[in-house]
Amino acid sequence: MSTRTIPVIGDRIKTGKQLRMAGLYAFLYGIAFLFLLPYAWMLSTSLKTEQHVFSQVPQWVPPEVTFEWYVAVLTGAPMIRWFLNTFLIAGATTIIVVVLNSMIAFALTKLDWPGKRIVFAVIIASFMVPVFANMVPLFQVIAQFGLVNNPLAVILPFSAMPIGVFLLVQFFKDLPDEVIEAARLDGFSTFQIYYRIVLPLMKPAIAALSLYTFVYTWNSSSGR
Amino acid sequence: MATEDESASRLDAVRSIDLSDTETRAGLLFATPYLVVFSIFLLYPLFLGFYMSLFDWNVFAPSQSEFIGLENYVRMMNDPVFWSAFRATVYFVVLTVPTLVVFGLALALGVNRNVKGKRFLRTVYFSPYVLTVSVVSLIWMEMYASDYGPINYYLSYILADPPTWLNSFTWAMPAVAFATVWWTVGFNFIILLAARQSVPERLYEAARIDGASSWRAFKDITLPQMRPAIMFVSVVQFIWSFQVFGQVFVMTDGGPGNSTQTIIMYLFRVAFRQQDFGYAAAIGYFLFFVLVAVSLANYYFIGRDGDAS
Repeated sequence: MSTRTIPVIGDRIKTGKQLRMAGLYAFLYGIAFLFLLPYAWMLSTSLKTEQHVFSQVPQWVPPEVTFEWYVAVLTGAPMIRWFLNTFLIAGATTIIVVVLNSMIAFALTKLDWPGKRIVFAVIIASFMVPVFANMVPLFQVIAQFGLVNNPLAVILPFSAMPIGVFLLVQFFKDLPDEVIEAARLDGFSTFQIYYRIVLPLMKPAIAALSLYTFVYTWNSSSGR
Repeated sequence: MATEDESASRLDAVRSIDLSDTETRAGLLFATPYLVVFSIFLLYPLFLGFYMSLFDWNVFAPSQSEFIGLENYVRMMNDPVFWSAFRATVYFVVLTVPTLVVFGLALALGVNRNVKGKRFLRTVYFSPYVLTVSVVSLIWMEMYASDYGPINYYLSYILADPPTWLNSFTWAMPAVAFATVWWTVGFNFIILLAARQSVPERLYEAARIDGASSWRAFKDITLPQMRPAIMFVSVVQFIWSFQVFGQVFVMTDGGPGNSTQTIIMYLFRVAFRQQDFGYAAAIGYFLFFVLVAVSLANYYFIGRDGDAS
């Protein structure tokens, strides 16, 4: 008897695990499927001829494929030019944001200087400034600097984005101080600590920030 | 813990800046480039905006603006349209923020298990986030369309009379919120996944050896370890949702009636359609003060809690 019950219990635990795993897969892939549906609809609509776009019965596969909308987009407007502009602005902003934000986040978390708590509090408070409330005064500031119609007028205000500072500070905080002390004992200068210790160790956080900034700037300069 | 914290910050403020101290110099050096850009392009316009809110601002000739003190704020307090916008905004926040945080966390923890196709799932969940708000809105307007949209076509099998979504007083806001969740949950997901991946695996090994259940491990390891990230995501999400604009603007234009007109949308209307920048600035600053109050309370509450444990 006992020789038989043991494998049964083992099997039961195994099936329980498998069931839970199956549930997990169903959840994750089910969500992924739902996430993809709107894309599929957009893609199929973009390939439909005008009369099929408003069809009563949903047609996931267009009965008649046309590329006329794509042709219209590419020939009707200087799309490629706009695309390049946006790309350059988003790229430049991302680089500036990563450099400036990682520097100040390093200063706020790993260096001791008077007033840093106040500086941090002000930065945090400022990211609640509603964008639209700030737009009109911002325009006046840009005009004062003579930057109207200059790409810097778009790049610099985005570079002031405080949310990146908050994000990086949250991550930099967890970097053990011992690592930095050890580097200091080895004769690293503060800049070397920042450049050769903190930045490489914080790659995931910096990658997240870069991605976020690029996307945000891309969308903002193309109409968010 | 808390009192020590306060006295430290008081000392911090009183201590004069000693430039002969290497660390002070380095700190200031590292902080300055950002602070310069920040002061010019964020802080200064912020004060300028407050100044504007005290005037009957003339956009075309700012020097001819009439100083009216707090009249813009008084007008706002007595403006029923403003309060309806406030209620609509709070409703949107309640619908989206908890959903986005919990759903983002569920996806992050799910993907973090050893599932096949991690990379694919990660891409799919994050991808809507890279779309522009106008694109997102257009997609969902097609999806929700009551006469030719796929959602109502399939719903009509189950329901005799499916809602008209964006044209319905009851369903317009939840529909916009649903589209918003699809659009932005990827941001929370990525941040929370990064946070989950930086929880040291040895903590879970220790818990396993001690015979802790997976629920205990979640409650006593995952959640506390991920608290900074969860807090970050919640605060940021709260602020963004409170400032919702684009989706509503494109999808419903505040309708039907004023049922989905949010604060920023009303502000936009006042500023750019009625050219009343002084009043718009006042609305903006009211919103700003609400957000600062709520977020700082949240930050200090959770921050102090974290120090104590």
